[in-house]
Amino acid sequence: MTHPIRVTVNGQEYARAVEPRQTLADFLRDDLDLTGTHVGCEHGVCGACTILLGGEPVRSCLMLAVQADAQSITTIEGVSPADGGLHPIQEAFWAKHGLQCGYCTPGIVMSVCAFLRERPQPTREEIREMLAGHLCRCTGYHFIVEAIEAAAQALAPPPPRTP
Amino acid sequence: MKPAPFEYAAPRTLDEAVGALASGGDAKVLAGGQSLVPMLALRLARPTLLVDINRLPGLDGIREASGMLEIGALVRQRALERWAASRSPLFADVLQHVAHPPIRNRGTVVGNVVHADPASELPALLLCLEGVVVARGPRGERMIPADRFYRAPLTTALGPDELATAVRFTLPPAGAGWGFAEVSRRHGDFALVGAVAVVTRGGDGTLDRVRLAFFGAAGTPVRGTAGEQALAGQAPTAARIGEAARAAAAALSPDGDIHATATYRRHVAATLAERTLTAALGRCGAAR
Amino acid sequence: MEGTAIGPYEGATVRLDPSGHAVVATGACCQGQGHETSFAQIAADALGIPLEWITVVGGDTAAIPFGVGTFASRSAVNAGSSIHEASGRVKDKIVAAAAALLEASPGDIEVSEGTVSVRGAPGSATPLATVIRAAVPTFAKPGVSDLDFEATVYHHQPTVTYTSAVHVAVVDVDTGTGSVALRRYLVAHDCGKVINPVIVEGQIHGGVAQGVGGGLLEEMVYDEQAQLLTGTFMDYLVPTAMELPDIETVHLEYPSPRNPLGVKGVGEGGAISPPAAIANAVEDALAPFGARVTRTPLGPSVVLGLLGKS
Repeated sequence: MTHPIRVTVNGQEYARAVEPRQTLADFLRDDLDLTGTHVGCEHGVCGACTILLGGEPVRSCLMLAVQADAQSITTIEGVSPADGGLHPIQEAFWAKHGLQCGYCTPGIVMSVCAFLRERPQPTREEIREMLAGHLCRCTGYHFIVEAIEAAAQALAPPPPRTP
Repeated sequence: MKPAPFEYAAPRTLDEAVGALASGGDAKVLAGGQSLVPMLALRLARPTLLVDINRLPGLDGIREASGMLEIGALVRQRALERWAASRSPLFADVLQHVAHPPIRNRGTVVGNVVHADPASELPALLLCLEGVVVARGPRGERMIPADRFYRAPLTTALGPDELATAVRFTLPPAGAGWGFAEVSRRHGDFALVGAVAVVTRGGDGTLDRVRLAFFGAAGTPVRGTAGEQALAGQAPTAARIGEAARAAAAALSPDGDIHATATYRRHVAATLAERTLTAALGRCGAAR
Repeated sequence: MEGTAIGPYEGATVRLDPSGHAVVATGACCQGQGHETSFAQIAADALGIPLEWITVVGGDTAAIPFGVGTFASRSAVNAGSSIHEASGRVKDKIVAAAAALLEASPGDIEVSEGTVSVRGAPGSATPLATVIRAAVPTFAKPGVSDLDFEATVYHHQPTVTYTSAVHVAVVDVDTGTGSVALRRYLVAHDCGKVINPVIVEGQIHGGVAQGVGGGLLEEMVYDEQAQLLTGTFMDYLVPTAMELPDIETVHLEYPSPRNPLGVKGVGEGGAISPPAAIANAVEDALAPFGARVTRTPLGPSVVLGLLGKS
């Protein structure tokens, strides 16, 4: 038996009917063709499926699609500016070689979007602590940490001009 | 893997929710889902009905009154963490050891308490702070004290037709000191073993009240009563704290598994009891 | 020491379009190692065109029918060498066309950043596209040279290259809990010619992380019925950013004599030494206790066991 949901994803509203056991991750990928959200483990550990629910990072593999009714979701597809180009966080990951195969990257970028809002000038230790919720097998995290530092600098407001 | 099929209900009143749980068949409560959904995905749990309580009103409050902290069933771990940042270093420290922020954004405090994983932090904190689980069932509401709540791994005194609507912690009194420590293999993992301690000192410097709880050291969280009794009313020396810690740990019967032997858990329980009691002593008189 | 870059071969087809831009097709597929950059660098150097003019295609049998693949730290040596050689042949064809067009000796033709010129003749600078167009026949005359700016080379690699490294691990051991914290990790390595330092560091970092996993965390555990007990990420413990420090790297370059680029494979080497480095570091830390490390991973329970307490 399916249940109707109305969910806003990246600013666009979708009305669909979903089976209760379908996860939000599978709904985004299979029903909405938003395949930027990746499924790595399906038990909440790897973090590749992380999206923003009401602006906060959550594991989309641990939410049921039916629970997304009346919610607002942002996926990696919603991070790049609408007129093309890359978000400063994406730009920093590219510039600092903060990704290799890219499988873990969308989940990390979503967490970083929220993290830098809450902590605009993080220490490297704080960055590593936030990253601990995301598994990466390619990079050893070193350049990811540098990318997030660079993103923080890119997003920081410019210092006031002294006369 | 994908979950096995189940029916789904999203009641809008407490009575509807309890009614759904009592409706026969194997129903489970879905709040944050951070413990339940992995079990569904791994097919370790195959309920016939999921009762989603996220639409129930009035369950998202954090209320502090008369030395008690009451946390509603829909309070996310992250919400309590933010509340605690300026009000309770103990709660803040404990919560920062629970998984990772994306899990805490969704997982609920009450859900974690009721899931009763032996290696979880919050059940031990509830036990240490002599808390209470507020349960609502077809026959009304009852309070279940923490020391009667945990029965076995993943098994509590909650009936299959009961919903935990809140938990209440007794906040440490003014001037109490606290300590918290766990050993996990990676940051954010379930603990191999852990301890939480809260102590108060009397005017003459002796220990007035000692509460010590372990997690990961048995099938449920356990109080280190042998250690508590050894220290109550005593002047706290390093030697006495060490002996009390060892006495508390000696009473434990931990299990071994692929991550740690039973001997390890018992031995490290003593080490962590010593460290947390020492830290609690050091914090006596500071903010709770 | 690791024998890397096993052969027996890999191939590349390098083809210019009328604008002088290049497509480099090879059997080796990229899995995130940055082939699109490092292979483009090889081709850019050998062809004399800008990096941005090059598109790298991997693993498309319509583009190149024979190949082996990306594994065993082999792509830079095998694919890289074939790209280098194929690009060199295309460069020869550019030079032949340019020599004919500019009426110079082939030995005096220089190609740099997509511009062709005659050495010692400052006004001779000519866009590559112009040289290529000159090879195109018109009604009036044939092209100045063959209309062929394409080459395919299969590089034969009969044996391996030998890459080496030294790893240093600095650890703190909590003798109360057996927890091992990795404070510093350093790698001095020789992979021959470093094509792209950042890409090489990324490969080393990733390898080190995997090796650290083997040293401290990762284990396949089976019960007596051969059931896998570590079948989820809750029990099979992949290192996170909190279990790893910044990884400090020193590049040493002793070119390999076994391929025209002088490169040696480096994709996996980072993973080899960490278990040994960490085991040695833990043994060093526990020297006062006379502990001997004989197995990894060195989880807390194992470490306390070395102290007789677990």
